[in-house]
Amino acid sequence: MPNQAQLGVETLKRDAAALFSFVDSICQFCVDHDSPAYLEPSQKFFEYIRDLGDATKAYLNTFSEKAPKDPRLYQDYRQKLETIRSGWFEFHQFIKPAIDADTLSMPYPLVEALTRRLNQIKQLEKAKFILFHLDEVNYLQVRVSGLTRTADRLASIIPDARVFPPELGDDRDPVLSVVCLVPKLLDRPRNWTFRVPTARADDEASAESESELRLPKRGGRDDGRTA
Amino acid sequence: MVALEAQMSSESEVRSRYLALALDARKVIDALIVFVDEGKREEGLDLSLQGAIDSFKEEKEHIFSPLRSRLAFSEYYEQVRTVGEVIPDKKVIVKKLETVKADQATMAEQQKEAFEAIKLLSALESRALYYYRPQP
Repeated sequence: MPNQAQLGVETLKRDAAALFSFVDSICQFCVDHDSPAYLEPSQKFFEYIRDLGDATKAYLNTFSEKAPKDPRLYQDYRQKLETIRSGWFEFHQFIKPAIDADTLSMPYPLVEALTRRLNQIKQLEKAKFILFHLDEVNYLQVRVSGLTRTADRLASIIPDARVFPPELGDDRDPVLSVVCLVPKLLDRPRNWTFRVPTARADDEASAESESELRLPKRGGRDDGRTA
Repeated sequence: MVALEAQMSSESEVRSRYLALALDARKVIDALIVFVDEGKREEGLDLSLQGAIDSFKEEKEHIFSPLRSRLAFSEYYEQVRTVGEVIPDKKVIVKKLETVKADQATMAEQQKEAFEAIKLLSALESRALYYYRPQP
């Protein structure tokens, strides 16, 4: 049985092609379409994913050609595919809920009204929401810092990839962006919880602490059941 | 249920820290592979090496002080622990990276040290990816 170093360029091509398909399948969700419609921050998020996907696929097209000639480095080079795949796996869990959060499925006038109210708070004047629409849990916390951490680092190992748009998630900026989570409305009352990162750029240790805005329970009661 | 939800959120956050560690290790590996394979000092090599050296050397005066560095080798507890598992003596990799960055030794010696550094960083990347994957 040949060792991994002997598998050669053909194996790299096959591995890169498999990863190409994986990335392409994720980016397919984010192609431009007239319907359904999305709010502007979500559209920017999809645009960023498309750009990152294009850069990743362009890189994968030449991955096998740029393999090191020294066979001792083969496995170390090949392992990069696994790292890129993990980066996209991390993105994947955000993309489908964001796609599901179109304006027909979401109470977007309410979201826009809440956003306007939020923007009246000092240092949150430019805060925006990427909406996630979930049906598996009725509460999920997404840290903007985690999303930007993955995006920026993935971009750093892929040529020509750009970093995560600052207006969507730079938690080092005093004006913070916000990720909003709204559960899918099923047949039972829910609490809608919006988590808002606090805006204190001078204190990084506290940058990930969060304040909470909890909406009233529908019908003035909560039966305590969860998804 | 609240505890379960908090746990889910926490797990996701922790896993993203392992992924950050793998991605940062890969960034340095990429630069070193070009150096070993082609003997070429790519633009950005010195910057990557310096970032890694600073991160590996980072020692805090107070154990509870916030751990923040440019690279993820010593930013969070999970990252520090993983680095400790794979590279118990960080001085070893720091010395290898410093040899390459200083550019004082012979090319053969620098490439030897760079190759050994790649192996250590590759093991670190592999371990971080292992911890990143959802555990059964």
